[in-house]
Amino acid sequence: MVHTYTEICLKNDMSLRGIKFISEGLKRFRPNNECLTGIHADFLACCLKTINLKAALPVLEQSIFDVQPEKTGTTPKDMLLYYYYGGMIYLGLKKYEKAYSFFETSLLVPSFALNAIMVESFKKYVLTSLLLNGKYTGIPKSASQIVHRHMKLYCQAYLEFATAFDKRDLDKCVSNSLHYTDIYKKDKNLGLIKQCITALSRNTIQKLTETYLTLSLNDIAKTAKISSSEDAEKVLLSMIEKGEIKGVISQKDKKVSFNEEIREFNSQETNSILDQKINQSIELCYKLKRMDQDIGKSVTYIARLNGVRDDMLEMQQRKGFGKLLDMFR
Amino acid sequence: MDQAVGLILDSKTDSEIESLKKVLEQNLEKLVKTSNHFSNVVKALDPKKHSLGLVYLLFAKMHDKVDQSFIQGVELLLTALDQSQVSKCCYRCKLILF
Repeated sequence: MVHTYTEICLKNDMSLRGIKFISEGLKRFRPNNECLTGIHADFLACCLKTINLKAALPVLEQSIFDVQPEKTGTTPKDMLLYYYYGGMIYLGLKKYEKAYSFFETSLLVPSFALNAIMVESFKKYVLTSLLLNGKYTGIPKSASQIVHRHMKLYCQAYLEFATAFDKRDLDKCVSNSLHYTDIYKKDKNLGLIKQCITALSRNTIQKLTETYLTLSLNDIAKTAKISSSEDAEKVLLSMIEKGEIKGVISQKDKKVSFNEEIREFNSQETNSILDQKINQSIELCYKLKRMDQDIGKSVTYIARLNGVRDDMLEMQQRKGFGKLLDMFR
Repeated sequence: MDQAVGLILDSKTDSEIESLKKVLEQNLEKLVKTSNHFSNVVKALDPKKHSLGLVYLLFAKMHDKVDQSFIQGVELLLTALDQSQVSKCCYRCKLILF
């Protein structure tokens, strides 16, 4: 019902109105803050349509630990869409780490058949991996066999691009983007591809700082395949301003001296970040312990542990669980 | 439709809401056929107290004709729904749909 309402809002330019009502309904409908519902994906779809990405942050920042399909009617499609849209929103906000995590999670959903949402998530996962890590990290090991076997068939252009990126071959990346422009345009990933190509030059420069202490602007332009030393200087300035590298540009010599950053991690800011991470880990540990205890007490788990088949369990559950346990006395 | 609304208005306790759910599900086809009176009927319902009934009426309306009254009904439900009532029926609605 809410899906139908969302479709109407998206088709008729009413998404802003939809954000207001769906966010209200979401707060009332979910059994708890950590529970995923079918409405989450609808809310994110409206935020994406109106490019109102920051409105989605309060919902996205709430970690999901619970799915109660019998209370919320959540389906696997709702879950896949939530992580796919969430990843796109984080990409739009340039929060690549979170975007990568969301796309990765959508690939980890157990499945027996490939679906379009997973294929699209994988394409963005590859590109986000290049932007975040400077390389393609491969399909997550816990992804289902379907993903491992079939993704190469549907995402060949992206994997070729990733291979060229890993080899730091800018010419090949550019030729790949030109050759497969239609595919990237159709998938609406052309902007991401261009970002990756820009990131490749910056990655190459970052690698140079690991080897050299001083370099001329001409050498940097040649290695990073930038058109001129003036453009190389602009890129370097922007990287230094953003804190991606530490260096000093000498206008007289047209050279860059790279400084090694010595971090002692003894500031108050470091202490508070460390404290926050430790508390998060402790909370997560307690949550996992509670989930483990709940699973250990569940009827299905105890039956499986005692070698009872699912169909026998279902039969006995209608008559009463006690009779089933009698078999093992 | 009037009988359905009367039942919805009279159901207050948990057991009455459970039996209302069964009745509405059994008569879903009739609700779809009479859903043209939906816009008049929904004004009589309070989404806080009659969430379950409103869900079934909207579900029936969705299968007949999606129009302005459907949109207004969904918005009315979303602003003041009762989670305990809605959670009783949303899984059933999904099963019926699929």
